[in-house]
Amino acid sequence: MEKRGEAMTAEHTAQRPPDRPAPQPRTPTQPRLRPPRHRVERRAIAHWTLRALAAAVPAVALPAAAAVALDLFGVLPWAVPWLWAAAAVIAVPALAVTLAMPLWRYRVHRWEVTDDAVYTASGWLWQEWRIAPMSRIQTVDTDRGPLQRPLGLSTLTVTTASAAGPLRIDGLAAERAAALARRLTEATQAVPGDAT
Amino acid sequence: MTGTTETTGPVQTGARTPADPGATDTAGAAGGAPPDHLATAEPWRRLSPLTMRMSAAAATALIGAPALIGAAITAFIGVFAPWGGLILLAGALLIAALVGYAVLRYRLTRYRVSDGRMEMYSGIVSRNHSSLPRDRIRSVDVAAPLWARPFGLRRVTVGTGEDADTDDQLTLAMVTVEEADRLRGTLLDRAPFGASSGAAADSAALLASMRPAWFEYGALSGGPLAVGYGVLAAVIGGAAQFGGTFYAQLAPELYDQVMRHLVVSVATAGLGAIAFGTFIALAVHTEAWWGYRLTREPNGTLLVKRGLLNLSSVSIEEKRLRGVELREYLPLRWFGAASVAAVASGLGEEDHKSGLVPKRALSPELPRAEAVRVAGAALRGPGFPELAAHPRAALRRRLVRAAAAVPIVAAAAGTAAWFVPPVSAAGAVLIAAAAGVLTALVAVPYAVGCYRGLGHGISGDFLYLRRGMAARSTVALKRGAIIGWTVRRSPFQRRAGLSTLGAMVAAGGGLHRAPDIGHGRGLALADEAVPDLLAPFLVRS
Repeated sequence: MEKRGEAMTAEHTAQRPPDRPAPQPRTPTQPRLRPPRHRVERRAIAHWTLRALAAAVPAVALPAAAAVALDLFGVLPWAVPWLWAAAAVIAVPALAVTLAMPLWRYRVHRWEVTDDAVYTASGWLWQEWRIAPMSRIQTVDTDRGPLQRPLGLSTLTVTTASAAGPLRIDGLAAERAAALARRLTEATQAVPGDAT
Repeated sequence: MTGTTETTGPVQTGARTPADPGATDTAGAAGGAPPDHLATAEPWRRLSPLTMRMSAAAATALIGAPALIGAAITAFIGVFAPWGGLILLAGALLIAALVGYAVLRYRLTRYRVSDGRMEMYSGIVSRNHSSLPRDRIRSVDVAAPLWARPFGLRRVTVGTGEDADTDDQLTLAMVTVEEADRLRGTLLDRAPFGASSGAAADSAALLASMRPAWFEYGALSGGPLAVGYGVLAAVIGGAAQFGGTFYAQLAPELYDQVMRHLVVSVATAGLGAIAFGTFIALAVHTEAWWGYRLTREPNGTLLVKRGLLNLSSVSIEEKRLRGVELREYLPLRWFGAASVAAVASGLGEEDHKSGLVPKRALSPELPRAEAVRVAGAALRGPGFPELAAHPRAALRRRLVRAAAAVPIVAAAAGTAAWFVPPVSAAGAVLIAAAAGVLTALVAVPYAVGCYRGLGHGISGDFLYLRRGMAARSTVALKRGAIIGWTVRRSPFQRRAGLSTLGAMVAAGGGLHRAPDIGHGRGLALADEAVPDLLAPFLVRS
C-alpha cells in the first residue's frame, strides 16, 4: 500500500496548476488490453444478420408498401414519390448496417474465462470490454432467442452485484454455453459470501 | 420456527395462522411495554396504539375544524338548517371512516424480528406478508414527521438494498421511540453474542455536527432554492389568478404609481422576489439540517441525524460503504462549499428520496475543507488528493462538441426568426449571429470547465474519479469494493487514444466512470487499483 501511494505521488503530484494539466507522454510502458482468447461461433454472423434484417426489412418495407398501395388506389398521388424517397433514405444505412455490422461484430466479439476472471469484448462502432473477477459473480444464465435457436446458439449472461449491467457473451454454441455456465456456477459456489 | 410462516400458499390463509395467537396473547401489551421474549420464539408485535390516537387527532384537526368553520358560516348566513347540518354530518362521517381505517390498520398489522428474518403482515383489503432475511438488512431509517412528534411516534423503514426497489423495503408506521431504537439496535447489530449495547452505547464517535454559519449555504443550495422559488411562483400565480383585475380596480392610483415609476417598481419587485425565495430556501434548508450530527456507532454503522420539525435519522452499515462522494455543485462551488454523500448499497438512487435530502447524504453543504475532513472521517481514509488531469485530447473533444453546438443553435434561432413575419431576412441573419455568439460564450467556458472537472488518481486504499462541470463530483471508492471494470471506446475515442473507464461497485447506479481518460493510462490505473484482476489481460510493449 505504502509503496503504491508513493509511486502515485511521484507520478502525479509534481502537479502543474489545475488549468495546465500534465502532458501525458505515450511511454513504452503504457499497457494495452489484449483481446480475449476465444472468438464466438462463426454462425453468430448469420444470427446478427438475421437480427439486422428483422429491423431493416420492416423499416424499408413499410414506406415502400404504403407507396405501392397509394399508387394502386390513386390516393394522395403527391405522397407517393415522398414515400419512395423515404424508403430509399432508410434503405441505404439499413443495407450498410446489415452488411457491415455482423462481420465487424465477429471481429470484435470475444470472450475468455480464466480461473480468476471473466473477460468479454463486444460492440462494433462503440466497443466495450468488461472484466469481472470470479469471486464477484452472482448469477449465470444462458438463454436462446427465437433467432438463435435454429442456429444452435446461446447467450451467456454473467451478473455481478453491480447495477452496471451484466457481462454477456453473445453467440456461443449451445452446448458450450451450457458447459461454461456449469463451470462458472461451480466456481462461484466455491466462493463464500454474497459476492458484493 | 420461521419455516411454518414461510408458506407459499395463498396469502390469506398464511396471514391468519401465525398472526392470530399473537393477537390474542399480546394484544394488550403489544403497544406500550414490549414483553420480554425468548430469542427463539419472538412474539408478534403491533404498531403503537398511539397511531390510532394520532390519526384521530389529525382527522379532527384537518376535517373537523374546517367543517365547524363551514357550519358556523352557514349559521351566520342563516342557511344552517339543511347545509350546515350536512357539512357537519359529512365531516363526522369522514372522521369516523379515517379513524376506523386507523383502528383496522392497527389491528391487522403485525411484525416480528426473529433470529433469521424480519416479517410483517399488513394490509386491510389485500393482505400482504413481507419477509426480509436479517443478514440482508442494510439500513434502518427512523423518521419523526411533525405530526407524529407530540405522540412520541417514529416511522421505521428497513431496507435491504438489493435492487433499490421499494419492494425490498419494510415500513412500520408508526412505533414508539423506544421500539424504534430497539429495532435499530437489533437489526443492525452483527455482534456474534447478541446486544452488548449497554457498555458500547456511549462510545459513538462524533464525526461532524452542524455549525450555525453553515445554514447560510441553504440560500444557494439546489433543493431548497427550487422549493423557495416554487413557493414564490405559486404565490404569484395565485395572486394573479384571483387578484389581478381586483387590485387594479381597488387601487387605481397605486396602479398608476407603479406604471409611472416602472424601473423602480420592477427593481423593487425583483429584489422582493429574490428576498422571498431566499428566505424560503433558508427556512427549508434550516428545517432539514437543524441539529445535524454524523456519528460512527459502536455497531459499525454511520448514523446521520438531522431535522428541526421533521426528525430523520439514517443508518448506513459501514461494511456496505463502498466509498464517498464529494459534491461541489454550482453555484455553491463559487463560494467554496461542498457536500458529502455515501456510495453504499441499500440507499437507492438520487431520485429515491423522501423530501429534500437524498438518503445517501452524509452532510449538508459545508466549507470545502470541512467537507473533505468529514468525507475522510466517514471513510477512515485520507482526504482528497490532487488528481491527475486527462489528456488534452479530452479537451479537444469537448471543444469540438461546443463548436458543433454553435451553428446548430444559430441555424435554429435564425430559422425560427425567419418564420416570424415582421422579421426581415437581414434581421434573421442578425438573430442567428447573436444566438451563435451567445452560445459560444456559454458553450466554450462550459467545455473548458468540463475538461477541468475530469481527474483521476489513487491514494492509499482509494481510487478517486472526478467529473462534471455544474454538478462536479469526486468519488473516492474503496479499491477492495471494485467488482469489475468496463472499458468503452467510441470510434472517435479510438482515434484520439482515449477510452471511458468504468469501475463497477455494488451501490447505486453501479458504475463510476472516468470519461476520456488516456487509454493506456486508464488501464494502468485500473491495474494499479485492483492488482491481479486486469494484469493477465494486459500486454506491455
